[in-house]
Amino acid sequence: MSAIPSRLRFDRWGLLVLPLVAFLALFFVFPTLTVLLRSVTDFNPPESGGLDNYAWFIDSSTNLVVLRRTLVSAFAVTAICLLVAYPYAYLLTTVGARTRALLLGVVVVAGFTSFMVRNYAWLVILQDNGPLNDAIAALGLGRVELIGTDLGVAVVFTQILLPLMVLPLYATMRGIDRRLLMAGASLGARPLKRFLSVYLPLSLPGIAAGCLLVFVLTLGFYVTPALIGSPTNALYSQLMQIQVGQLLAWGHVGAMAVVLIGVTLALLAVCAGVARRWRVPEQEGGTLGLYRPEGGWRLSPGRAALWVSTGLTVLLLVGPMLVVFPQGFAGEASIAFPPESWSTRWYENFFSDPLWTDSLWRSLGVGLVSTALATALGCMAALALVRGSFPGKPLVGALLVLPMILPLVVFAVGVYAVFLDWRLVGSFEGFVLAHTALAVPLVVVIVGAGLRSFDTRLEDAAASLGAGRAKAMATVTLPVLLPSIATAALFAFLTSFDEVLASVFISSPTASTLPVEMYRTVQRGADPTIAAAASLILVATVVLMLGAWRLRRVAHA
Amino acid sequence: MPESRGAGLRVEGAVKRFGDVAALDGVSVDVRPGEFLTLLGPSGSGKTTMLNAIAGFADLSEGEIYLDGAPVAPIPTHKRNVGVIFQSYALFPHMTAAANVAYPLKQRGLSRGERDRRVAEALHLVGLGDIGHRYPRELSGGQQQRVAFARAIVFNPRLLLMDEPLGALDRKLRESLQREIKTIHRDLGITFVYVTHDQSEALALSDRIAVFRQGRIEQIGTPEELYERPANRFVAEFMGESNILPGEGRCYVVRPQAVRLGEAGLENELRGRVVDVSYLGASRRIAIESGGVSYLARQDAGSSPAPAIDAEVTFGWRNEDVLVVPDEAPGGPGRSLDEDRPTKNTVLMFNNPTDEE
Repeated sequence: MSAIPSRLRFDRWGLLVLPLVAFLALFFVFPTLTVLLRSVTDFNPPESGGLDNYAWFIDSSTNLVVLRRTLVSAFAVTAICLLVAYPYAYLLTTVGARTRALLLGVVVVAGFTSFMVRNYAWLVILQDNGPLNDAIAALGLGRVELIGTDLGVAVVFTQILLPLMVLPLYATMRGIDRRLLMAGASLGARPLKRFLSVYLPLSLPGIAAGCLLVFVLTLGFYVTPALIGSPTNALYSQLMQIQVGQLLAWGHVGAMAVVLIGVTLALLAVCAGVARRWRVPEQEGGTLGLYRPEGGWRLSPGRAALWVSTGLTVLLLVGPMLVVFPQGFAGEASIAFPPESWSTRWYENFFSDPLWTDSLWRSLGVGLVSTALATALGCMAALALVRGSFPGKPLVGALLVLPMILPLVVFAVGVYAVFLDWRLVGSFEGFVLAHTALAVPLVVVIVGAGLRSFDTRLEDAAASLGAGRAKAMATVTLPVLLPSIATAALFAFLTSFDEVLASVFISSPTASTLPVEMYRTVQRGADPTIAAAASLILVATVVLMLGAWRLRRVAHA
Repeated sequence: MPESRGAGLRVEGAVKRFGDVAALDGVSVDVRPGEFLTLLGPSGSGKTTMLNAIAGFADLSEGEIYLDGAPVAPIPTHKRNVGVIFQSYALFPHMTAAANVAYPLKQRGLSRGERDRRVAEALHLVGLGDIGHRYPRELSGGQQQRVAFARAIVFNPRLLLMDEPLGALDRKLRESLQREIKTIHRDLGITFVYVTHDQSEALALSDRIAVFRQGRIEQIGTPEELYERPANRFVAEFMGESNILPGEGRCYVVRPQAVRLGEAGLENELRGRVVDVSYLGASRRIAIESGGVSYLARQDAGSSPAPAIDAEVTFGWRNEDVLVVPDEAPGGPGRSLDEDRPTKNTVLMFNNPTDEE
């Protein structure tokens, strides 16, 4: 007889959450809190104390100007992403399965394909003598300065973050019961009215989730403004990077982090309110929103506009990345596009220069080890969350979304702070630990979804047929979940292989990962070796994704 | 043909609580070796909980289950040697049909040749010869059902448990599979415990039926006993359509086929108005209203012309067709209901039940 209610106790499954909680507490929460705490413990000379770091923040007009500029540009990027992504996600719900897989594939590949590849590609496209300016000039509009401007940065952000808007929108829309629209029609509402009064409100949870993701990521990605923008119109995350990377002003950066998190939390509260207000219970994972009339749609002007917008979006998502292929075969060491002569020297350089080969091997090694670690921790936690009961279950859910909603620059700075103390900067273990912390929530989400749809009666059946518990797990549960686990592992690997924000901080001049090496190269003036590397990464990612897609299709056929 | 004798199963005072709710509330039942027992009841009446406890998927809060006289509580599911067929079939999606059927043999360490032989035999027994290489998703619902059946009997269990195994199939397929289940039961000679909420399925298949309600057994008996001598109103209503006429603490049950139209010399006679006639193929179902009460009659479709709707008719029944049962189940299990049971000598006289109001 126990007086403690079962939800406050650990059952056998619940215990499996502990390794992940310990890991995230140590390598995610602790670093983050360390930075925040330094705002009141770490001061620059001469003598100061108390809330001096906050006083510095408010006294510096640069800080306030940059904060305002950052918020404005984040709002703009979010708004543009929403406008472009909404028709795209809507079209996804109204096409056949094959087209849908293709259009979703474009989004997923674009969303998980090297962040650095895309930044570099945009640098080529947006340069003063680049292809975009050539096109504008050909239209007789003169040349526009894009590199080093807010406009240029906003364009790149939009392209990079667009997939993260499309995916939550689509997830919500596929659950919206299409019969409600038909009901609206039968009640006499015109198409526009139907959309505004029925569809739009029901899609609000997806809008809220997508906007939150895009907004927060815009706040925290210092890499894009650092490469595409200029110091004179810096963004907030850039400023934080400078405070730590160049000035080691930990107290200042702590205060900046507190302000940034304050802004994020306020935003989160608004979005959570919207999501709660409009939550429709059956929406999650539903397919009531997928609808295509027998024999396809009649081509109306609205339908045509939808397809044109979607086509342009595909072009925006895929097109820029394609410039890396000719660039990799350039003859001369410049980023001029298209190259004036051709050679394979950059590929040769990539495979012979120890700077590149070292970082490639390190990236592959770190990727594999952090994938293994994240998959193991994530699978255990998913089992605990889906099957177990343990105290603080809702808190663990919140802990797992933290890496997605916390501006990543704060985590990056925090990891740098504690890794300096722990002597992990520039070490293999350091990269592994930081990457695992960022990859593990994805694993929990993907494997958790697989587990939730797993029919536990299969385990009962195995038991009734003579298999003990461990045998049943090994011969039934694990093989049935394998596609989910493999997908999770793939995304964990891509997360690690692509990670640059934290890696820039925790790498040393002699030990870096491939994306960090690319970042440094672009800063140095974009030696075309980066284009060769980018081409290889792109091809490898697409092959991996296609493999994963086939695996899932075979498993679900 | 696998030669196998069934196990005797005894359940004593089974209680299963989930929080404050008792899903099983003192169930006792004795199943003879080789018997076909059906647990019949509405959803949530405890029949599946009972099955889960026998299989070992869940422990009882109180009470004991014995297989061939030995208590099963200390034996884990995988050592009970009890076959189970699930409502959803629970076929392993990553294995072919043959691999599914081979699974229990593998757990028991049989050689490959022996496995192949037994798998082929079991698939043949359920009428599936050449689909062993297919995956469950490539099979129809009926074929999946048969694979599940083969998998549950291939290791010669002493007892086979079935949880609404035909629930997901359409009616025609259900009926043909019912016949096959009966044949297989006869051939194997093992004990079957079958769960369903479909009374016609229970009547067609079972040696005996246990009617469940709110975690208790209301009555247990042969299909004839349950249909002709229901222990109480609940059982009477659950075992098929009936006219229930209220009385003092008891009620009178008249089956629709005992209600005769336009026949002289009935002990109980009423006049009423026909409100509905439905044609059911071999018979028709007639709803008659009399004195504010609705009655159901059923007559052979070929016997006489159907009455017109709104027609005034005389109808009635013989005293010997009236069953007297307690109104509800006041005493629960254990109380003898014999004194309420109508016999040939109990002659009931009432002209119009509405007079009793």
